[in-house]
Amino acid sequence: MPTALLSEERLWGAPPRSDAEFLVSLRSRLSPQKTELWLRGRQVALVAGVAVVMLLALVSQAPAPQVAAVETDSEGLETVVDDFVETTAEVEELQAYLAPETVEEVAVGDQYVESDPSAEELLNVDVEEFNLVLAELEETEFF
Amino acid sequence: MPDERDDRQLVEAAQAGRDDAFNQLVLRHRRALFHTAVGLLGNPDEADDICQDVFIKAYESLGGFRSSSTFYTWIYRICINLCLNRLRSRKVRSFLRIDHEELALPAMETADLPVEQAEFLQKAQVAIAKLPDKQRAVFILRYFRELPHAEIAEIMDRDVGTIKANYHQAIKKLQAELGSYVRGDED
Repeated sequence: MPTALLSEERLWGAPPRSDAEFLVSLRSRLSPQKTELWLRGRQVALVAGVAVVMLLALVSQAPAPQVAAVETDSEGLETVVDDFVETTAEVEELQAYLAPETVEEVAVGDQYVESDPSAEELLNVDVEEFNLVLAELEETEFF
Repeated sequence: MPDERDDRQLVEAAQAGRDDAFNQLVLRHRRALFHTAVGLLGNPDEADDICQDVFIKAYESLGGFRSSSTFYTWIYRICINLCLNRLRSRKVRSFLRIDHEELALPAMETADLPVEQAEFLQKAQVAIAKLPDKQRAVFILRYFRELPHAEIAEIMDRDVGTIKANYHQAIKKLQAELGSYVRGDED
């Protein structure tokens, strides 16, 4: 067992640093680990924040249906619910655009417009077709 | 003012984030740990650095420490492992002729001692340094730390019989160099 002479203090002396110096040095070596942990946490928070901002920006820029009110000075057209349509057309131009390619009567507002065919065409009856209809009528039994 | 709490209480406080409790553990064990390390390594500055490494490792692993073993057993195990690794690396460097391995001996303050006692201490220092590394570790833990064989076995991860045999061998070698001044367990 150790004796006064053969003691550790005699053999190997005292530590080169005092307790205070040792603790300060130890703490300075430990604190970067804490700082590192804190910085890592901050980086994660920063990245998450940026991601949220970018997500919000993307969502706010996504195309959405819009209601565009187009005012015209004509009394018939007040509101057009379609963001792709812009028009400065007059009522007459729209009537011409909407007119059917086949010739028939179309209603525009309260007025009726007469269009061709002519009376001559209407009176020109196909004789064979007329006879066929008469024959069918003769064969028809009425109850 | 010394802290009245025992190691277990301080460890629990440190685990709860109380840095002052960990500081108390450092101050309580630092000196004994230093002497163990310098006894193994021979270099006081290197031993002091190893002590810091021990406490840093302990701090990092404090959350996983369970009181199945005592705190000082745990830090001595870390210390012995770090010192033996350092000695192994020295041997490799010496083998590769990177460094020339010399017996590392710290300077002693013997000015206040009679010449024969100073000479005895010099001889003792050399004799201890010449012990095989693991035998030296066992000798320091048993002779100076006065730890039970069972705890040394736990620290060194060896069975108790091996520890006793190594301690006995160390005492025999030192008695051959220094005479009966060095007393073993059985004497």
